[in-house]
Amino acid sequence: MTECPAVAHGGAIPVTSADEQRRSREAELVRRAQAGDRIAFEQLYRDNVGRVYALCFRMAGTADLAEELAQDVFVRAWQKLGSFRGESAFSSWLHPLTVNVALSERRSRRRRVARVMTTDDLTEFERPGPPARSDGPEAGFDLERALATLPPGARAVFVLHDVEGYKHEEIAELTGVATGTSKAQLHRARRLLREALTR
Amino acid sequence: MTCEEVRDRIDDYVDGALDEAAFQEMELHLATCAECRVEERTLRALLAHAAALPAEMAPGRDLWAGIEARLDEARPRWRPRPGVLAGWGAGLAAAAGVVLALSALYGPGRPSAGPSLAPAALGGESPVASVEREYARAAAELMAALEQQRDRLPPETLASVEKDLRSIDAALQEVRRALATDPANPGLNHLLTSTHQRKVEVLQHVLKLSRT
Repeated sequence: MTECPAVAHGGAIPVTSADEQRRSREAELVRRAQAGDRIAFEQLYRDNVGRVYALCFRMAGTADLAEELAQDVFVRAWQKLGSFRGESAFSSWLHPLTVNVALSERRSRRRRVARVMTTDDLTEFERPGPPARSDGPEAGFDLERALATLPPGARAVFVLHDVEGYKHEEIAELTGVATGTSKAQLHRARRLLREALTR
Repeated sequence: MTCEEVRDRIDDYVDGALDEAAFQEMELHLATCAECRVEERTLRALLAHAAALPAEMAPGRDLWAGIEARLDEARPRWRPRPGVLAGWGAGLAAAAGVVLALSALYGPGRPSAGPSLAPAALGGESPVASVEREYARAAAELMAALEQQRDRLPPETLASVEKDLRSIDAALQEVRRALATDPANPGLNHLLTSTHQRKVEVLQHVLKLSRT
């Protein structure tokens, strides 16, 4: 049997070394970006845009809005870069910033009458979903698509709780609602998604 | 526990948030109610789907151009971080050296555009050379003014500025290297200008600090 290279070299050592290299490279990019180096900041953007965009897309529900939000996140990151002390990975520092940007947009969108969406319009669920496969309805389930059709409040709580792993207390603090409201929104989101899953 | 109660509390059940008594009641109900068991399994399947979502997604287009265009307006809300004092004079001299070298290379009265720069503009000087010359002049003036004031600045500020200038100069070198292979690239030309602008801003900022 061929030995795994990582095992042959003593298990975790090569991985640790690669991780250290990655961190060292990232620290250097951050240091340069903090000094105003936009090339370094662009590299940080390229290294992190996938994760930022995924969260924005799930929170926003549309690609256009997600792109706007992801851009806002990196502009905000540029403004606040001086507060990053390197105690965590840059992606960990960027994550709450992304959540805040997405939630702020949702709050301001609710205030802008002209752009109000039909937040409780569940007719999207009536759209024909992807064809069910012979191995059961769950196999053809497209969660990303189903998420996009949720009411925004329920969607945000589901993404934060069930995808990103936040607790209700943390969600309540982030969104400015009571813990009970967060639980109710999650219950609603899960119920609607379960219905979509079994359709 | 009724089916309705089970469905009300099913989230707490799968999240492990029920107390022992409620948990036992739920288990008992699920053992005997096929309909509620389907609800529970569907919920667990949904959570498995959520956990399996990819951590990353690529946007449909490159967002960097839009971000970069906004960076000039989005001035950082922070001041340079204090660093370790490591010889302001040397740092200043290094930065000055770059500025003077640029000035000498692309300044008036010297052959301007080398083979790596953009095609010559009016007057025989390429747009890139003109940008380099103008910013070099501005930076040199600011640095000369700063030289007169440096005793009035705290060492940690000086060290931070020194670090900033070194990084900016390194960035300028990178841009120039990129321009050498793609001299007409508008993004690179813009980057050259904005990086120079950043250097001037750093110098202006620290000069202002020294006068307060």
